[in-house]
Amino acid sequence: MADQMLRWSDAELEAALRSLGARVAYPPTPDLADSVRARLAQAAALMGPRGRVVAMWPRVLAAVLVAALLVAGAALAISADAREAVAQRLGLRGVAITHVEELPTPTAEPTLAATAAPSPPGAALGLGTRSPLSDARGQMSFAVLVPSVLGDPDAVYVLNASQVSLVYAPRATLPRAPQGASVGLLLTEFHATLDETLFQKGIPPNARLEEVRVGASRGFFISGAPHSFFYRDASGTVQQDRSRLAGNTLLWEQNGLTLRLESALDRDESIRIAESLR
Amino acid sequence: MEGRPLEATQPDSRLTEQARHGNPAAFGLLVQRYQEVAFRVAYLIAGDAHDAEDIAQDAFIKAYAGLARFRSDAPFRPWLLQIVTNEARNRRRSAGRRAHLAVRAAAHQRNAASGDAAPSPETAALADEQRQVLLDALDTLREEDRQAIAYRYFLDLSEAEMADALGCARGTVKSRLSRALARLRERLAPRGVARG
Repeated sequence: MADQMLRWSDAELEAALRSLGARVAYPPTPDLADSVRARLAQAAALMGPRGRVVAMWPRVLAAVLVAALLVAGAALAISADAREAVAQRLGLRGVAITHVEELPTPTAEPTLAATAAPSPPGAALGLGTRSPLSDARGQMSFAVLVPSVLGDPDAVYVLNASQVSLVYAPRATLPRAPQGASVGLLLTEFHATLDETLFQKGIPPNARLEEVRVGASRGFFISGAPHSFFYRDASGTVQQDRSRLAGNTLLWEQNGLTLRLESALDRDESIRIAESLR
Repeated sequence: MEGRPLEATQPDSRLTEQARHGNPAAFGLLVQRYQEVAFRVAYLIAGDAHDAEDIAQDAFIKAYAGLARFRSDAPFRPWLLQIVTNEARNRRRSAGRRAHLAVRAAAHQRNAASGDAAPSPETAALADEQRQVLLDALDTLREEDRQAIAYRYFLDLSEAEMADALGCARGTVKSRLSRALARLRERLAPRGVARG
């Protein structure tokens, strides 16, 4: 039998392979059209008014769609409760946290960090235009909050009138963040409303998500792995961002703002700093 | 989007063009048209119906998101199959699984080597055993070779489609396939000799 197979001509081998292929017991093909349509509709709904979706089509929506790749049944460190809590974009204004299996390829790290010239902490993170704190306060459409336990930041970056980032250099109580390029802590504050901002967070399976309280507010603490963000900026354009420091992230809401604190600090220390915002 | 009615008979290029302009219904027709081949490609690589469904679904979503990069005069099917292939490979890699060609012979008497030989006509038994030998040999091939063979002979992709789906130059598909077949023969040989 087997040596007979050895004598097969090319045509016979090909025929045998076709015959084998014809006997593959494929499972019945599921109806994907409905589920794909539902996911596209869901993504479109996240994007806001229809006209805007079309106007941004499709490069921008691509980012949202990639972020929205939900993985059914993946083994997660995320507790069922937390997952339930975030499943419907609850709790945080304009924030959606989505579990993704794999992060989209991060954008290239700016090469600025490689240059010898000393730069302020966070300069390589693409956070916007550097600005003195006092100027930033004047430019923002909201009152900029500063963690009183840390004092004034070492650098401030303004992306537009609705987003400001405070950067602290590493110090004794503030370890250098894993990919932080001389950053110890990054606090981003942005004005978010449900219809104006989309902010998605891509959580890989090896990351951990916990629901926490920050003062009277609800928040989420994400640790263990880098993750990505998708949000809509003030002009309505969806931006892709990633966790800048590959550290831990605390996300919460306060005074109508959404706040994101990234550092190498643990949950309790992150919350302590967050609760000191004035 | 406006004006032209959507019809299931419209060519792919028309549907991709409409989908590109934000018409999900047009894309829905493309999904219906290609869900079977997408699912089967995913199944051949993933070996699990549930995974294959996820892979195919994600691949369609990525295709939709990637329409801006897609030339509407290019054929949609091989482009889609390339996305499916990549998606399936990436998932398997991230799951740390070794690639097996996920072929289950149709529910049919295939005597496992349990020694508990079920009676069957000798001709059918031979054919079954040949299939098994062929499957085993395929399973020892490199992933590239296995996929080339599966795409060509199991899924009946053209060589041009294979080139797109596998992400290689069209000119190399033929030689790649013949090398895969040659290696398949090599894998058949020792077994044949041993069994005499």
